[in-house]
Amino acid sequence: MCSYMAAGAPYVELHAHSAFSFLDGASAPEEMAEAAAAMGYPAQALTDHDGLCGSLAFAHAARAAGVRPITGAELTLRGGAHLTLLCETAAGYANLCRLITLAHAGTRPPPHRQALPPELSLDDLAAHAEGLVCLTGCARHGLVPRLLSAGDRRGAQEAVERLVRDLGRGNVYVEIQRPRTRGDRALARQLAALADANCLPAVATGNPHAHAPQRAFLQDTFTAIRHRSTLDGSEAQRRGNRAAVLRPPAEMAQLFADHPDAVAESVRLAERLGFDLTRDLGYRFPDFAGSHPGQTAQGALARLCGYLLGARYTNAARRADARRRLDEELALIEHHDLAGFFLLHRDLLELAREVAFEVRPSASARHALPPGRGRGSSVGSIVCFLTGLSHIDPIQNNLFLGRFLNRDLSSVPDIDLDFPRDIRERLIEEVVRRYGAEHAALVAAFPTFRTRMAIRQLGAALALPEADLERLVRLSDGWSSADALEEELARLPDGDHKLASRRWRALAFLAREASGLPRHLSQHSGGMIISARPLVELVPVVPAAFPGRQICQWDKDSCADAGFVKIDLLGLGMLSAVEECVDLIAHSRGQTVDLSRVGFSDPEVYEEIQDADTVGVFQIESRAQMQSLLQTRPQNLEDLTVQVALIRPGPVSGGAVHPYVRHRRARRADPGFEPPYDHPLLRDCLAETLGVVVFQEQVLEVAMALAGFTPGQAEALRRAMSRRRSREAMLRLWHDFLAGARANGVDDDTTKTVFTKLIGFSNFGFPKAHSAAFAVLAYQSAWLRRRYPAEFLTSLLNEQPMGFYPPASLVRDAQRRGVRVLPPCVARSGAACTMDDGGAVRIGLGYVRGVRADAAARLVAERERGAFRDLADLASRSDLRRGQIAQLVRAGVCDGFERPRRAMLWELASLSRPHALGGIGPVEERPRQLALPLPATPAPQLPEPDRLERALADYETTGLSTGWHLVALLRPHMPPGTLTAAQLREADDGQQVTVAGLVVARQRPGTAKGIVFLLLEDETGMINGVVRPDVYERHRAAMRADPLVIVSGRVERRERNLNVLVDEVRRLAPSEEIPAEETGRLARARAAAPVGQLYGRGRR
Amino acid sequence: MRSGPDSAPTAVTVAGRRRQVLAVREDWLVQDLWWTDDPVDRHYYELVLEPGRHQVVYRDADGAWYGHT
Repeated sequence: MCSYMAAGAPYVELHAHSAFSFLDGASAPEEMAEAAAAMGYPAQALTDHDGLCGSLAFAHAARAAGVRPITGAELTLRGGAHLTLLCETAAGYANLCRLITLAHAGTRPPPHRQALPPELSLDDLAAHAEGLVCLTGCARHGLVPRLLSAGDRRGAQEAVERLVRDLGRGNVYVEIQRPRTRGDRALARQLAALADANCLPAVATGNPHAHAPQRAFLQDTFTAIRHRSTLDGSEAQRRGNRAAVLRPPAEMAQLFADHPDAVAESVRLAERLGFDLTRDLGYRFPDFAGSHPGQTAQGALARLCGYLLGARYTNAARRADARRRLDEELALIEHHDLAGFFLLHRDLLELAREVAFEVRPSASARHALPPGRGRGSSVGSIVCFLTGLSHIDPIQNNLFLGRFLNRDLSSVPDIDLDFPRDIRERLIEEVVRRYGAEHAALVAAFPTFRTRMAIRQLGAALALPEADLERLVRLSDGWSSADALEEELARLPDGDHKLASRRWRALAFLAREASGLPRHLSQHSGGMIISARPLVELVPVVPAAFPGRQICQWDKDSCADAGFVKIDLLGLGMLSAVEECVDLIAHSRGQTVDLSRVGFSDPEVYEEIQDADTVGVFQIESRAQMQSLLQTRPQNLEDLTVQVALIRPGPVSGGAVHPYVRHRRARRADPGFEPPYDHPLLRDCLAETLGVVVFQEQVLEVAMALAGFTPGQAEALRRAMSRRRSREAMLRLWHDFLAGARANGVDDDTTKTVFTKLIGFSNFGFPKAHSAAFAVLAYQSAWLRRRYPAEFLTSLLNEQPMGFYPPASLVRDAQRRGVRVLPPCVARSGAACTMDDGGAVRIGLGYVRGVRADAAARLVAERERGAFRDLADLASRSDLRRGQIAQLVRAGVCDGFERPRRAMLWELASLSRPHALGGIGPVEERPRQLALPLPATPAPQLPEPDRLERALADYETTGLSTGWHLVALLRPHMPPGTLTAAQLREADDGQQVTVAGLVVARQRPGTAKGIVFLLLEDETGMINGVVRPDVYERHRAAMRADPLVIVSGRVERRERNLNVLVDEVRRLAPSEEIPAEETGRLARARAAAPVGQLYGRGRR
Repeated sequence: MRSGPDSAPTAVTVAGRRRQVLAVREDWLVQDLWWTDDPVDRHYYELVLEPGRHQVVYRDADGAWYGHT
């Protein structure tokens, strides 16, 4: 008797799906594991469709819950039939990964790479069958059951024979299920007979798709979504009952009472399937010493660093400090056997250098720049600094190492590298080419059901009216949690009516149930896995939508749990913008800017930073940063390093911001001011941040100084605080902390105060090393903005989307600072924004909505062959559609033809013109449009658009206006006495005011107790509004959805900050005497206004 | 209708005549239309009654039994 049976388990579930079967499973792997444990299962399999995306998460969750995980998958064969494969050995697991990889290999066929379903050939299965056990498939789609259901007994017999031949007699089981549908008993009897006839064991499986009955509703809905149908329309595809959920072993044994042997077989087979993914993965750490023949990885790394140390540190005293730090790091690297890891990163950086040489034109000012920069805690490492993986000297900047490397390290550290976007794109492809398609892949990400997606997709499945759903989506505005949907419904004007409807209530319920479940597989922002052993034997790899890329089926958490070396190749928009800016300066002014030589001490740059004049500056441009800058007034790079880290949830909720501001003020007044510390032991580690915890490392340093923690213990504390906190784990750490502090003579009250602050900080802060790296980029962007504002604006506009402000606000800010910005022009504009004659910025044709960048580039290429004479000439020589040309006209791009816009639109409509023939390939190779033989029909007399209409057209067609500000043109519709931002700056503290503007951002930080910060822009500048929760509730509709608002409130002046404490918000609406035509224009203005950014989460 | 400890019918009255259930050939669940005002939740049984006659019956969510023609 096997041990599970001896332990009294009558049944083990060997066929189960989680939400990682993507729309064919309604519970998270962790929920499946925990439910199995609660029901008393000793072991359980997860067999998602064609993938192992949730397998490692399931395996770890099951292990933690005391259930032995069994790894498998349900594979789709060519023709659509299913087979269940389970791993018996490590070789079987490797084969399963290969099989899934093969099944997905053809899912993105060129040229359009539209996703196709995966499919596996039986020949491939035969070639990779070792170590696998095969069950004949589910009742509905299984290879054998499907044939039997269709009455094809002979086909079923042949299929069984083929499986036995390919996999071996001992490895094929006839799978019996009871989905509780009509005929399932008969099918089970036929399957049992087939097993008997072939002397094969039959095994019972449940095929649950959810961990609990209430999720069966979601499973039904997912099925409808998967089939692009509604619940009403998908009856044939749905199961028709709620039986496909995990049930206790005894209940399953009862269900299969007619097949006791098949039930007992599930237990015997579970016992046999000994492979454990948490233990037997067999990942080998790569040792990239190949380019250093005859040396160990450690020796090669030590030699390399020793050589570079001499070159980098020419000063003897500094070199001695650096040597000590290097020796310390090399010892830790040897201790953890991480030399190969560092050499791999070095190797990658060299590859990036080669890519950068190709991507950056040789004449470009970017040519000499390093290919990328480090970020994150690795910036604190001298090995990273010496090998080029970081650009910040950890000795000079006094950076702490323990967060990145320490003796008690439990997982591989992270080295994150930032690259300009163009280099990153190519580098990802080159990495796969360099290490081989079987050895490198991108890390996966799994977008989850969030409120908007849930409302749209679940609501469509429920056949709810689309217009109502969209109204709800607009109201949800990204702050809503799925839990809040019912509240949202109740607030609607017809909320009572909706909540009385079963379908609407179902939507609220389903959105809550779906919250957090994965929707599909996507790619991580830049994480790559590289493996010495073929990666396709460790995790399945699937092609990405983007040509040349492939994605492994695990996300960053699973990759970390597997111990994989993950390399983050991140695209950083500001890095691209800074590089482009340097290039533009070289082209437009003939000046070479070497950012490594401009230093960090330009007083004019700090003056702007201290005045919070930082729109567009990396990291310190947000509303909250600006308000803080006015008080902290950074004076140097060290101050900026603190500033970058200060306005983060960690320091905010850890109560660090206000004391830091107070201490800065005191230090300004008295340079000898010594900030108070919770305990003298904390003086050394908190001195640079004036007594408060701002950086992640300081959590570690405080724990080490106060409680005598080792770096490893301290890192464990930080990790415990950062992940979902286990109460028991935190309690244990608290006891260790208390004991350590007592041993250091610290009183319990102080210990408690400090510990509470550390918990408040949690993980939501930057390491100092990371802040230092970002502070450099913040300064460089501020310097470029100050010295070369036009070029800086051009590069920002070309790198959108990025940063806090929409392009319209960036343009306005630059204009206020004296930059001339010119509208797009068919004769002058490039595809991207460019520098025009006289140092002005020219908006690019690519900014015209509906004209894609490639179409704009082709238009510019055609213009290079000869200027366009008129609209007819343009229409005949370009491959743009009529609608695109009309959009150019509306955007004012064709104003240079000196014809009224409406006349041109008329003429365009009357032009007869063949459809565009080209569109693919270089412009000179495409068939040319013939010049039109007939002139267009002359336009009748049409009224010219006025200023407002032109401005509206600008916003509608390009999202920005270089001419009149929309708010300036709408002033006639505002109540008398409405102040501009400039007038507001003169208002007194406490004065009641009314202001109006475009909503640039609405922020609801989780740390602000429900207060919403509203940032408005008018023609003279920005306005900060502070909205209390009760005011917000009173004016929800205007607050949440309207892009143009009028705000009344009281002026609050605090030091250098100026806010309006809002007591009323209303939409910019026409007064009653305004003619209907004006009402229509206002509605158009609201629709055309740039969409404000939304930040923060909460239950609103 | 009389049912056993596993809720399966053991005897059925058809057209006024009580008949013993000899076997349950099939049983299945129909749980559907839960998003509408008329949800369905039924447990169906295909029975073999004495003397060999087939009858489909179902029990709804309230426990009431119905014959199916």
